[in-house]
Amino acid sequence: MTISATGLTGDLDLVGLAEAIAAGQVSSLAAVQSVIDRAERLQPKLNCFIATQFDRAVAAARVLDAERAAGRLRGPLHGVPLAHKDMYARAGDVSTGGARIRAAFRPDHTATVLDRLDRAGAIDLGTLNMAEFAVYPTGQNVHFGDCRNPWDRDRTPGGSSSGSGAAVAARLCWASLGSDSGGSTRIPASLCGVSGIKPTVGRISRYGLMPVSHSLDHVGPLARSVRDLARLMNVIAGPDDKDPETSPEPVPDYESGLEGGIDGLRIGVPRRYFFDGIHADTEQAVEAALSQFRTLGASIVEVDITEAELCATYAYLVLFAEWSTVHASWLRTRLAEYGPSARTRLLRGLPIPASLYHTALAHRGRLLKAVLTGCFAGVDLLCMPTTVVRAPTLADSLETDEASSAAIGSLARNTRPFNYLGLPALSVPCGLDAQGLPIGLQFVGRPFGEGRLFRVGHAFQKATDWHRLRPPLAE
Amino acid sequence: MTSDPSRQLDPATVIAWVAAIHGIDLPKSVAAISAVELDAAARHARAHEIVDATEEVMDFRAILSCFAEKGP
Repeated sequence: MTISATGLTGDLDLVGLAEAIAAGQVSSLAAVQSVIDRAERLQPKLNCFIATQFDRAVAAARVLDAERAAGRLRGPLHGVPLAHKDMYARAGDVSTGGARIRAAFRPDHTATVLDRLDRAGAIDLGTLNMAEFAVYPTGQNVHFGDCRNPWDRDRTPGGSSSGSGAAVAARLCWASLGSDSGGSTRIPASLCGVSGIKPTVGRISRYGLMPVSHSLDHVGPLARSVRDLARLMNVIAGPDDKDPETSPEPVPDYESGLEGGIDGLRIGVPRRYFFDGIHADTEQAVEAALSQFRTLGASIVEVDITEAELCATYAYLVLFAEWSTVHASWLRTRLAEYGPSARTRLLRGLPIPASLYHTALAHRGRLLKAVLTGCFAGVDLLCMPTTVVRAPTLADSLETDEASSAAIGSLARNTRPFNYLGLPALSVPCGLDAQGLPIGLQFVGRPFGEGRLFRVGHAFQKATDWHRLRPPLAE
Repeated sequence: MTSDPSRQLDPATVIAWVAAIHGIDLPKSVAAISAVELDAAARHARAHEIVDATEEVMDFRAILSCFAEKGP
């Protein structure tokens, strides 16, 4: 059996492609070439890539195909083309962080996650667009041009991992590493109709990841399906000597745990706060998903995270104070080189008093324990909309005053508290609104409970087709 | 802030002054946004204050490990 180019870019998820390559049903070169052909058509429309490495990817694919023909597979991603947010170090390659200031920055080391993907046989297609310095949830970029949402090119794909969400949705790569300091993986996953996870803090090494907010930064994979995320996590999760903050907690085999089903599972739904201001179409899609879970044997339990507002407030204090500190030197000496959106956000953290910042961090353990012994006591996981609002238009994506700042900030309302708490959170597509824009559903688990989130997400994707939908532009 | 209006400082001016301590000239428009969100955050934090000087800080990473989910 062989697979057509259409089948390659459209129908196969990452696991499907990896298995087809391993079985000799398709070559890695054909997969890479299919993306290159597609990028010629879609890059001018979507601007997903900041830089492409197509020649290098073709050369790598030829080597990997030869190895497979000789009976050798490097690992579970042998020959699979990926592309990542432009904030992971690869020795010798430019890593911009979406910023003009870093336009010539070539790190001398490679991020642990890229190294692990390389060893597993993945191919790197290039670097993806993002919000400048990853500080903006709508992802626009004045230096490299805005990335556009493949479902509606007048709208933002979400950010800060804008290129990752758009590229996976438009089938320009099979998966991508974004990052997530306040929702930067889950927001684009939600707005672009793909799956994305922010794992437990410490689950994945951050060595080689551009710092945004030390306390809240996470590596965040995005892919076409939950089973793809499980495979990626099997490759990249786990302790790393180069990042002493990685956890020694054992890493389960996420893929083998996917098929457990959800019969008897208790899913907590925190409506207060997390459903406030929800768009009617989003609410309808979430309710339909909850009905689906009941059909699959789970029970729905109403819960209340009484600490939600405080977690969101403390997340803001930590996030803004830390990124302003990271950038303090450049804000002093190179202020004019920042774009207006990044400049505004980075400056806004400067006046946060040390006492408030310290209070926010000092309460972190106590609030985490309160949530785990409180609302989590009677449930196995939580479920809520990833975002309560639809993707803003690019024109509405600029923070120019208090009102627009609040509107943009609402994108991260449901995601940011879980960066503060460090808990794993998975977003999966669960519908389209009346304008044909994707809607995301977020699951939140206990510490290191990624496996359970994957099991629930996979059960949902076996029962529904939302994750298979492609934007018309990507057909 | 004092309750005496004659001695009330404009929050945005105070914030611009704090930025100046960092050697940064903060635009008034940015200082205004900062003033609003910082004021809201501070009020909120005060309203929900749960730790006083008699309580020990709980180690965040230790709580994560303590409640870690085992198995897939």
